[in-house]
Amino acid sequence: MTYSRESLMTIVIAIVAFLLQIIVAPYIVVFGAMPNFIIVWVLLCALVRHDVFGSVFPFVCGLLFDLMSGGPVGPMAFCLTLFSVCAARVFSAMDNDTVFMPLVIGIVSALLIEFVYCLFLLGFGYNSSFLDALGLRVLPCTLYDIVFIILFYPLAVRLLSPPNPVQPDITQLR
Amino acid sequence: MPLNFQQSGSPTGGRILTIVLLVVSLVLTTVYAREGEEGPLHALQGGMTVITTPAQYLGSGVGAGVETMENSISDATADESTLTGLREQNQELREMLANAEEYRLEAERLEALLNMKTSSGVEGIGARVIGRSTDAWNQSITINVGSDDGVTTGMTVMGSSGVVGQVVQVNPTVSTVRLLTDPNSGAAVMVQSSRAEGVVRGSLSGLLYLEDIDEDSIPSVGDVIITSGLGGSYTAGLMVGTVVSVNKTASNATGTIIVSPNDDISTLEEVIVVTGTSSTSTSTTSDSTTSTSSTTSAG
Repeated sequence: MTYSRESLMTIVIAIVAFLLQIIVAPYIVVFGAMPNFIIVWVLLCALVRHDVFGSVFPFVCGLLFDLMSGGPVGPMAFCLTLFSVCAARVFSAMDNDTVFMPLVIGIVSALLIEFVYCLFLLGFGYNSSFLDALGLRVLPCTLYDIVFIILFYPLAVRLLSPPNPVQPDITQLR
Repeated sequence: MPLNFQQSGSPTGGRILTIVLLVVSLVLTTVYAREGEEGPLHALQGGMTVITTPAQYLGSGVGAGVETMENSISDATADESTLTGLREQNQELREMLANAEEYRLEAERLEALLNMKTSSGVEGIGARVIGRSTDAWNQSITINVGSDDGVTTGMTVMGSSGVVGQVVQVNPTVSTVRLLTDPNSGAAVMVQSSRAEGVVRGSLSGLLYLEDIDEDSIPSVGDVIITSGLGGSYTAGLMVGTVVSVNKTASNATGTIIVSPNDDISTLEEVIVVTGTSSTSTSTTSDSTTSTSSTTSAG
């Protein structure tokens, strides 16, 4: 089995994302909103490597997040798998390699992940109203995720884009 | 390729795999919901807490760093008069040794905990907060004592000014405490002055709400709320907080009663896990041993 530089980099940064989630995220809470570095990294991988993005990576990341958090096991694995794979497919289908399009898809996907995860929690009997959950957690957390998606997108492009001598400009930012 | 990052084979195979993984996720969710606290997925989650403990220790250091950074940003954006004051203050502060200051603060916190322990007449195990919830939906902390120290699920946890939460998960060396401010928390309480009983619940906004209280016994602002011990979930007679707001509406006779939480959770560093009250506990050798070892854990 061979491991490409990009695949190894993906795993290494995924580990870093988990460490950030444990070490940094709990201490940068703003009005109850906490960034989710795992969502951010999985979506960035889906967007940058949309052509080869599979479903095991987001599933494993989501499952580990579920086990690490105090919530039920399974919902984040479901949300990450579904929406990151969809994001990769939509981006591939649109064949639009500008900076704007992946960010829009990333933002919408982050919102959907946080929203559906919230629905799972409410379904599990989480003691909060839907509007409170939406206003106090889903939207602020999504905003926080978006900030990091925008910040880390250039880095993800640089680290994950494979060298392509045939089409050298395919992964360049325009 | 690892983790199927690079999708190989036919697109149909990839789709089938995705569907299988989605189904597995839903099955896991269902199993988790149906199994008890002792189920395999809950146990796995507990094991994960132990695995992430070293990283959580690192996190407590980051917390102090973030606080310093916030102070620096605040200083940098201050006006000239504030800056002058800050410079003078800074000059004085430089004369202090950083380590000595840290130990002094820690001693103060521990003293406050000890005073609380004495004044409320509780027997307990001192513990240090080593981690916080890694997601926005749960308000919990991880403490550095576990079943090896005599901690069991359901024990009440106190800060320097009263109840802060309850132990919900115990491992040999660490435990998870769900804070009172968590929306899934609920503590049977009573108003100290009128003895009217109710339930204090957390919320996403971080406020505590007093609910299920009798219409004729609505508390006033400033009334002290203590645990009633009903249901046996929390030790009775411990301070929960003070009523800070009572808003009656036509549709809600009892109104919305807000109770101020005891401690600022973001600054909580040491806690006491209540093992019993002085009146109910027996002064056995094992109790003394536990109390002594606990002081070591916190210190």
